[in-house]
Amino acid sequence: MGVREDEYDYLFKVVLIGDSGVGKSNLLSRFTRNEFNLESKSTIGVEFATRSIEVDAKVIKAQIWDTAGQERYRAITSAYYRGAVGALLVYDIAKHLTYENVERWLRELRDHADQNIVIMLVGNKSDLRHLRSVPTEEAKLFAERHGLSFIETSALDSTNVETAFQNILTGLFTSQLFFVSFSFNVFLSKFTEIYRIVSQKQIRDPPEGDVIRPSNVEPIDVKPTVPSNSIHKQCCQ
Amino acid sequence: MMQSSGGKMVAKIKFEECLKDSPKFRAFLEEEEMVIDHLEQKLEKAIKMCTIAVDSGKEYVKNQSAFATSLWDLRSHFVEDSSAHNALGKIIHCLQEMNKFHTILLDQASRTVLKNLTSYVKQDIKEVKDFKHLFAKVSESLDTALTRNAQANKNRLAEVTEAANILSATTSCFRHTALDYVNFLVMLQSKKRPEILWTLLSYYQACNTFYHQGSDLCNDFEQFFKGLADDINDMRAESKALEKTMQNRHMSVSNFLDDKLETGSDNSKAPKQIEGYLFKRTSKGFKTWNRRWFYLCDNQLVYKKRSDGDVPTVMEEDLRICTVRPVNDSDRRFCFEVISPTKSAKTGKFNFHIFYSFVLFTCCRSHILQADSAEILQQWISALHKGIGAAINCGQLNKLDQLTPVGSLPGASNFKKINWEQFLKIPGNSLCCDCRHPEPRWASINLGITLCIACSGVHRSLGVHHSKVRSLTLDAWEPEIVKVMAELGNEIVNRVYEAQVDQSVVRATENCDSSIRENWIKMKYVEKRFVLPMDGAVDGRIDSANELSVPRPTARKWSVRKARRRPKNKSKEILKTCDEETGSTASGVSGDSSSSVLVIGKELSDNVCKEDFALSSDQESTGGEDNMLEDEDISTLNPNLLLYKSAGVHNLPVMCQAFASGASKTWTNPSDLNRTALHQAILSGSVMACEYLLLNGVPIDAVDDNGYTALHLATEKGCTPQAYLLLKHRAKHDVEAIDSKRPIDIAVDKANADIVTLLRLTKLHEEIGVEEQGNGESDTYNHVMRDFSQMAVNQPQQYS
Repeated sequence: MGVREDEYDYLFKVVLIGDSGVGKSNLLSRFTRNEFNLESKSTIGVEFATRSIEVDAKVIKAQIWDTAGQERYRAITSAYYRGAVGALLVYDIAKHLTYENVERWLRELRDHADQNIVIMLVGNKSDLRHLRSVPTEEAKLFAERHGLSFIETSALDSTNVETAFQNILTGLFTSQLFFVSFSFNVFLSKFTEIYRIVSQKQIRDPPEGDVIRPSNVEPIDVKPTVPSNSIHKQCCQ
Repeated sequence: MMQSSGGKMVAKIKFEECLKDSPKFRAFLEEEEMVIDHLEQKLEKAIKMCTIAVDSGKEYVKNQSAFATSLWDLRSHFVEDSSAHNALGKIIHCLQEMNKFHTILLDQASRTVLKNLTSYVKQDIKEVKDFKHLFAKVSESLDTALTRNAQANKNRLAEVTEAANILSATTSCFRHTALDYVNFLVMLQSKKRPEILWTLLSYYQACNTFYHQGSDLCNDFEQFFKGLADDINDMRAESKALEKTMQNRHMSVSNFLDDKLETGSDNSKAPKQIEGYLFKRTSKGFKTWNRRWFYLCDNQLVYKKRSDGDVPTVMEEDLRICTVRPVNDSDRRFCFEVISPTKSAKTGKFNFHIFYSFVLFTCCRSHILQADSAEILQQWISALHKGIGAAINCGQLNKLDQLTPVGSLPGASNFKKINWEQFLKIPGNSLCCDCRHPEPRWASINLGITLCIACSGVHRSLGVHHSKVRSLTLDAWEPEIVKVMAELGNEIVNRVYEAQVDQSVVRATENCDSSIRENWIKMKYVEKRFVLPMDGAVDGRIDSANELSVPRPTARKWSVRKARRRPKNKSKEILKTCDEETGSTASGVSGDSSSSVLVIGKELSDNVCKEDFALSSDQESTGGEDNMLEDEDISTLNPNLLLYKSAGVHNLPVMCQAFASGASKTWTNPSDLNRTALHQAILSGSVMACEYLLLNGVPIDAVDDNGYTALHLATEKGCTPQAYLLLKHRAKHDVEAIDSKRPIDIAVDKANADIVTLLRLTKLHEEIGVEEQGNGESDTYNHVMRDFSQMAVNQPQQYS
C-alpha cells in the first residue's frame, strides 16, 4: 500500500451494505488484507477494517464498516450509518433477489444516513459468468436512474475491488475538497477573530500546556489546500 | 329486379350446349369459375377484416371496462362528497351499460357475419370446387374413351363394340356430371346474393339494436344528467369565486411578515410564538445548509424537516444555558448562532489547526442558523432572547411531566427527560436527607438521597468514594441513575444510616453551624456511627425503640427477597427485619414452628410507597417478584455475603444496608466461583443493581474462578443494557477468561448483534482515541452509544 497507517489527512467512514451472502466481508478483506475466504461466516453486528490510500498526494484513511446483511444479525441501524460519508451497496450478480433488494437498501440509506452520502452500486461475484442473472446493462441503467455510480467486482479474483474502493474514496475526497475550498474563506476570516480572542484569553488566564500560544499561531502559513483553479475544475466536472 | 338478373344467369348457357360440351360451354365454365374465385377471395378478405374488427372491438371493450373499473376507484376519492359520489356512480353505470351493449354487438357480428360468411366459403364454395375436380376427371375419361373409340380397329368387332360401349357410358356419365356441375355453379351464384345480403342485413340490425339500446339508456338518464350539468355550472362558478379569493391572498403576502412581527411583540411572554424556516448548517460532514422549520417549545429550540413526521429534533434542550448572537463574518448574510456549553469540544473532521484552536478556546457548541432576511434575523434573535429570559424566569415553576423521551436528538445529550420534582416524591426526599431542609435541590447518586445545597457541599468535601453529588435541576440524569434514586431515597437510607442515633449526638439542622453539619455528615457516612451493627440483628439485640421490629432470637436462617419499589406493589420488603415463615414459603424446614427465617428487607416500607410515584424502576426483570433466594444459615450472615445475596436479587435497600454495615467492595464469594456482588447483579438481570454497585466503586473488571468478568457474564446472558452499562463505565472489553474467551468471542458465539456492535465499536473507539484526541469519530461513538442507552431504556422488555 505504501502509505503509513497512522498518518492521514482525511478519514472517511464508508459502510458496506447489501443482502446476506453477496460478499461484503470478502470485498472488505480483499481490499484491506488481500485475503479471500471461501467459507466465511455470516457477519454478526458489524466489523471494521481500515486502509489508507493516496489521492493527489493526500493520505485518505478509509474506515470501512462491514455490516451484517442478515436481519437477525443486525444491531440498531443508527449505529451503522451515523457519520458515514460513503456507502457501497453490494449485490450478487448471480442472485437476482439480491439485486431486487437494492431498492430496499436504498430506502434504508435514505431513512438513516446523511443525505449527502455518496453511494456506489457494486455487483459482486462477476467471476460467476455462467450463472449471471443480473445483466450489467440493466444494473448500470438502474444506477444511473438513482444517481449512483456503478461497478462490477469479484472479490474472488480481485477484479475491480481496488478500483471500486479507489473510486468511491476519490469521489469523497473530491467533494470534500469542494467543501474545503468553499469554507476556506470562512476559516480565514475567523482566523483574525480567533487570534484576537486567543490573545485576550491568554492575557486573562495563562494557557494550559496543550494550548497553542499566540506566538505559535501567528506564523502559521495558511494556504488553500489545492490551487483554486484545480478545484473549480473538479466541481464542474 | 334481382330475380330477373338471377334468371339471366341461368339463360347464360343453354342446356344443349352443356350436353354438347361445346367450346361455348367450356368458356362458360371458365368464366364462372373465375367469378367464383374472385368471390372467394373477396369473401375471405371480408372475413379476415371482420375478425380483426371483432377482435379489436373486444380489446376495446376490455379496456373500456378496465377504464370503468378505474373510475370506480376514482369515485372512492369522493366518498365524502355524496352528490359527486352519486353522479359519478351514475355516469360510470351508463358507461358500463354501453360497454355491455357493445359486447352484445360484437357478439352478434361474430355470430352473423363471421359464421355465415365462413360457412359460405368453407362449405358452398368448397363443394363447387371439389365438384370441379370431379368434372375434370370425368371429362378426361370421356376424352380417353373417345380416343379409344376412335382408335378401335374396325376389323376387331369385339374391340369396337367394347369401345363403343365404354364411350356411350362415359358420355352419359359426363353429361350428368356436366349438368350437375352447371347446377352447382348456378346455385352458388344464385345463393350468394341472399346469403351475403342476409348476413349483412342481420349485422345492420344488430347495429341498429345497439344504437337503440344506447339511445334508450341515454333517455332514461337524460333528466339526471341535465340536472348534473346545471350543478357543474354552479360548481364552476364556486371555484371561480374561490380562485378570486385565493388570488386576493397574494395581496396579503406582503403584509404577512409585518403581521407576524406584531404578534411576536404582542405576546412577548409566550416564546413559542415565533416559528419559521431557517437555514441550519449541519454540524458534521460537509457542513451543508439545510432548511428546517424552527420553533421554541418547552424552553427548547427544536426543528423539523418540511416533509417529516411529527417528531421534532431538539437543537438546544435547555434555553437557559444558551446565548444568541448575530454572526457577521460569515459568507452568508443574516446568520446568527446559538451557543451553549458542551462537554465535548466539537470539532470538524479536517486537520485545520486554526479550527481546532478556535474550538478549544471557545469550548462551546455553536449552531449557525441563517434567516431569510435581516428583519427575520432580528425577529429571531429577539425572540430567542425573550425565550431564554422566559425560560430562566419560569424554570422554577416548570410543571412539565416529561417522562417520555424526546426522540433522537443529535448533538444534544439525550437522556430520558426527567422532571426533577419527581425525585422529591420518593419517600423522604422532600426534605434534605441530613438536615431536613425543605428544598433539597441536590443529590448524592451513590447513596440515593437528596440534599440541600449546604449539605451537598459537605458531601462533595468527603470525596467521590463516599458521595457523588449531582444537581437535581441542572445535571443530565442517566436513566440508570434515576432508577437507583428511585429504589432508595432519604427515608430508606436514613433507616440504615440513622438506625440508632444516640440522644447526645448533635444532629445537623436546617440552619445549623457548618461545623455541626460537617461533623454530623462525617459521623453518618464516613464513620457510619449510627448504622445498626450486623451481629446486632443476629443476636436479637435490636433496640425495640427504633423502627425495626424485634427479630426473633430463634431465627436460624436468613434470606433476601427480590424487591423493587413499584407503584402497584403495596407491601414492600425494604429493610431488615425478621419474619416467621411457615413451611408454605421458601423455607425448606416445613412444619417446624420454631424454625424461622430472617427475611432481610421486609415490612418496613409499607408506608413508604406512594401512589403517584412516577419514576420508573427496573422493568427488565420483573419475573419472580416474590421469589427468595435459598435460605442461608444464620451463622453465615455477614455484610459481604449480604451484599452478595442482595445484589443477586437486586434489592437495593438491603445492598445499602450491607454497604453501611461495612461490606467490602472487593469481596469475592469463595463458595460461588469467587464471584463478586457485581457478577451477582449481572446475573440478576438488573441494570440498577449494577449501576448502584458501580457508583459505589466496586471493581468493574474483577474475574471469577473461570476468569469471567462481569462483562463476560452480561454478554453470555445476552443482556445488552448491562453490557452497555459496563462499557460506559469503561469496563475492559478484551479480558481473556480461563477458556481464553473474550466477551467479543462469547457475543459472536451467541450471535448477539447488538453486543457485538457495542464491543467492536468500543474497541474501535479506543484505537482511534489513542491515535487522535478530539476526533470527529468519538462523536459517532458517543452518538451510537447513546442510541443504545436510549434503546435499552425504551424497550427494556426486549432484553428480559
